[in-house]
Amino acid sequence: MFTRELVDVTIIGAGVVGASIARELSKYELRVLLIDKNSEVGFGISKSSTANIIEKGGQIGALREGLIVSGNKMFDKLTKDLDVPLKWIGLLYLARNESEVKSLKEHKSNEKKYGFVEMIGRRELRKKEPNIAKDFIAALYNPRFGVVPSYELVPGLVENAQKNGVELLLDTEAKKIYQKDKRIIIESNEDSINSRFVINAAGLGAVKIARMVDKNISDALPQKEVILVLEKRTEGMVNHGIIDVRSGGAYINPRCAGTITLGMRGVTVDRDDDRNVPGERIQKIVQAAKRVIPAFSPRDIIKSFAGVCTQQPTRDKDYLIGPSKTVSSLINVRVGWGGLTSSPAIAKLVVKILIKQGLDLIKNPNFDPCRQGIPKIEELTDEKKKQLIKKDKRYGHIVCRCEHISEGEIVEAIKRGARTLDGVKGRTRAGMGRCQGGFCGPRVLQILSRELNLPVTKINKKGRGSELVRFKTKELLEEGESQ
Amino acid sequence: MNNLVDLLVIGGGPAGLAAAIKAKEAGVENLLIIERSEELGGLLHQCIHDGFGLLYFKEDLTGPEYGYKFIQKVKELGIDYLLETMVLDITPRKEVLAMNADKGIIRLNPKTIVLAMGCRERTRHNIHLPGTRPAGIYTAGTAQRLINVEGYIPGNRVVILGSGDIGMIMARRLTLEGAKVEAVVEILPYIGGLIRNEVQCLRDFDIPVFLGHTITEIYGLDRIEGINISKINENGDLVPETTRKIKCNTLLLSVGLIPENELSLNAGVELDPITGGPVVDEDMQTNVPGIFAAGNVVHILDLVDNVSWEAEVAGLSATKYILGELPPSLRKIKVKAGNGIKYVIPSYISGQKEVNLYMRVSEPEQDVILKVVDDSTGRCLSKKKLLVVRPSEMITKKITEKELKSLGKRSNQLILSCVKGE
Repeated sequence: MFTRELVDVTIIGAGVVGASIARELSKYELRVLLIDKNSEVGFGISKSSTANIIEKGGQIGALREGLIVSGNKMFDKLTKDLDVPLKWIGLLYLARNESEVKSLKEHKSNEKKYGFVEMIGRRELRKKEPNIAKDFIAALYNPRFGVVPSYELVPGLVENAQKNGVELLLDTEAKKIYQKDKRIIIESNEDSINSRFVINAAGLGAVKIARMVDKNISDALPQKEVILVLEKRTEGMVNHGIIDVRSGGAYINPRCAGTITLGMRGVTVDRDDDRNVPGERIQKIVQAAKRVIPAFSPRDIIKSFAGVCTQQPTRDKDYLIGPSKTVSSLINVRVGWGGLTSSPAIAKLVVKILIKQGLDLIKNPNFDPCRQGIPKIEELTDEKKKQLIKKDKRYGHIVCRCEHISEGEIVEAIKRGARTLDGVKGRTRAGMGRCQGGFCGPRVLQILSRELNLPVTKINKKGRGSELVRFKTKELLEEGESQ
Repeated sequence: MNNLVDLLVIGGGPAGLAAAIKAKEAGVENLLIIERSEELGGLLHQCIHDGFGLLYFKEDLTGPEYGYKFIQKVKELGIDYLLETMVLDITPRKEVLAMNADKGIIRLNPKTIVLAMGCRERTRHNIHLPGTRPAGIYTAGTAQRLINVEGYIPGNRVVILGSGDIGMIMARRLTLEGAKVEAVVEILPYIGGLIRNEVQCLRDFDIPVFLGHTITEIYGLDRIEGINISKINENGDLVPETTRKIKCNTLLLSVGLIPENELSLNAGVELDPITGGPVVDEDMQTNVPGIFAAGNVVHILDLVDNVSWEAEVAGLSATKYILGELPPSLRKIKVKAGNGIKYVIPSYISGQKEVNLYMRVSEPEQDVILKVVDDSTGRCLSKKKLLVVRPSEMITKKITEKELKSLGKRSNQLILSCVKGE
């Protein structure tokens, strides 16, 4: 097995938490390695999460609450630096009757737990949400609720970390971890990685990683949420995030891209690879959403998917962030709901823990906090469109019809690290529209093949084993003949 | 090409080509076709099977052959066209924004527009198909492009959900390529596409067909590994005892087409909730004066021959509009679908001239009578006996000028019905 040169810190998991830690560490003069078992960054929980910036959540652990509150405040600067969209849409908790109003008022009187909130009456609610069902009489309004596309945020964080010196290894799965001569060794499917410290930010795999050095780690059962996406035609039907506590925690979120997502409180599942979307669940979510916005039509659904998230690792529903009890140079970062919001604060906390564990930090004088996003031709003014197309013609060639994504954007995404169809999709939105890649899929496949210099049969959807086309025409017939 | 365009045709598929040719022949000088794809002809290029043109040319042609005849004509007539050009927006004042690699931004303000953007396929999400989201699941048309245009086969063990025409044609195509088509699964109790495809694509190749069944589960995380299918009873409920697992590495969906009208909406064009396409009158004019529409963007047609004819009406109407010869659309008489009819195109007629009505029935039926009734008087204007009707096959009904003359003075609605004959 090939042994890699010693690094200061290796981070396992390139989701939003691992990527945030990598970027935070790139502010210092350190050798940092970010590894992930998937073929693309952000392909675990981050890929299919609700991606909301929340404020507080009621009865939650103290560590988690503190991280969510401080993380929330960091997002304006973070998304500005990384050129990632962010929209503070505000959140409305709905009430149908006086007893629900009463319980919301209790929340209001307990701002310490729930953050800044405001009670609004029927008229104000109608003004904010003209399409809302008649039966709602009041709502609790929290303005510090935002939406961010996590599929753009994670690549943004990683690109910026890489620019500042972090090295990224994909398709690299930690199989074994042990301590040896004050080093901590990760044996992966590819090579042997020596580090002074290892951060376990493996998300759904975090328990497995933690157990590699400490058998006494208890399980945290995963939680599955089914999410439906409504097509852009519905843009403007809702303006805020909405939660109908009574309907199984049904929620509605208008997204930055103009779509609307619908969901419901998740259910506990046995397996962290449970991505099955049950038909009944889709029906339930649609029904619950229609109780809030009667004008929603199931016809507007363009996508349904299941996201699996880890539950809070402790009994008091808190995060667990700190050195492993057996190997103190392994820092476990085990988070649950609210992980995206708290990620920038978690990154700062991890740095503090590393200092405490003996890591010396010297500021990286060349650290550049800014990253430029991939230009979005559709969003530019006529003049800017012209300039960009003049510079690179491929920005004038639309490949994804539904989202108006150009060949230039797709090529740029590949240059920045996309290697799969879903990777291109996340970074550009090509294939995320109403036809779900029916038209652009084969074309993106050809562009990936051309840019990566790989045969089309080797291009996959989301990593090894998910090849898109298996054979060339006539190939199966030749096989038949030779048998 | 200059910016003074009399007629802009959006879409260079069969509808756009026929509309443009007709308009040019009728005297429109400044004519432009904008096509988003690499070549003219639209989806005809990937339809390498035969059966095209039997009505229009009285010849049995493949899709590319049918398309070639129109493309040649466009070239002969010197009609301008732009390829790999995307129309991004149309306003109600017919201001058009388009973009391509060579010219960058293109702004036009044509006198008339023919919308001919065609349709897209329903995806698994549109039909709320449960299960995981692995690779290997394609709409039938996407698979058709991969195989016939790009030369790649998604996989060698295939299940096809839906018995639309493209699905059946792909079942045959994949079988001929050496793949095993494990099943064609159709939720309705009858085949969704044309009878000729049922015979020539499924029966002739002994492909197992499960009518009244649907997919209840999809297996596989990275690549699809199999599916479960179950029977649906008369109430539309699943019958769990009938569940069976079918192993496969590819799933194709042929579950319907949706007219592609995002641009139409921007232009203020009113859409019909049943067809998903613009509400048009007998001139194929939409509610926005000077904007016409034809082909699958209006409603999903069964045969390309009908697309061509319908588009010629739109092309000719646009020409008359430009020449100032088209009387303003009064939308005098509404044409409504009654018992047994799913929809009728056009939605409005003037009552002044002979018109061809295109319609589809809601259910398959035998020995029926198609009636055209004047709603205000209850009088039957015209009727026609039909032996067999199927939702997959469009019915055309001509209403003559003479028949229209018998309309009452206050008539404002015609109702079409198709019910068992007495």
